[in-house]
Amino acid sequence: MDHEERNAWGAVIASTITFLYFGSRIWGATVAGIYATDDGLRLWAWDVLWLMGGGIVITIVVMIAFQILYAIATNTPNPSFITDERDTMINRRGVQVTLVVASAGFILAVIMLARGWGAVGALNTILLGMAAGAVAGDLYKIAVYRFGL
Amino acid sequence: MANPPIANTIRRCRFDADEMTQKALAEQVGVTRQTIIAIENAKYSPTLELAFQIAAVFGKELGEVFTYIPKGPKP
Repeated sequence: MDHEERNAWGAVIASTITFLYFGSRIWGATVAGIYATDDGLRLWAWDVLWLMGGGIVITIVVMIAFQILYAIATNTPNPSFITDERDTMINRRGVQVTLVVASAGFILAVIMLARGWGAVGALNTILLGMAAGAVAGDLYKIAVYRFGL
Repeated sequence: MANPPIANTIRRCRFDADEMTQKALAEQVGVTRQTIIAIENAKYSPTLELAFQIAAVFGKELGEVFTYIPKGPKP
């Protein structure tokens, strides 16, 4: 398995853990009406800042763990860390997929605002779009690595 | 996904070059073995630079290793 393919698998796992944990917290707070108060947007912003920080830590830990487990499972003490032109091309296309999905989330949020939804609902939709975009981009990369460009 | 319309003789060239491994070829041109596999199986078209490098490893001209197959007219 390519170094970049391993990274894509690690990113999918990290994104899933991050957004299941922090996403459920934010969803729970939204449902409980915590963000519907006067101070709601500020609280939402803090929760998202925690999500970002937590996401970075989770990604680093998962990436390192995934590389170690891969090396153990495949009995390759010195796995390759080469990134070549094919990786660059696949990565570029993955970013395009991410942007399309994230943009769809933004457009949906604007439509929600236009139809009278609250700001927190729209912000959550943008956040969800970005999360879905990140996972979709990485899944696309894995699919291309598995089935060809 | 549709395969790119570029055929190659890399497998034949490797065989003729004392059965050079994909790993050895990958190391010589600075890419991963997976990229060499993808090129051999016509799943990925290399850049012109990489194509020249691969041909140079075997001491051949580009056209001897890579061939463009034009798409025929649709029936």
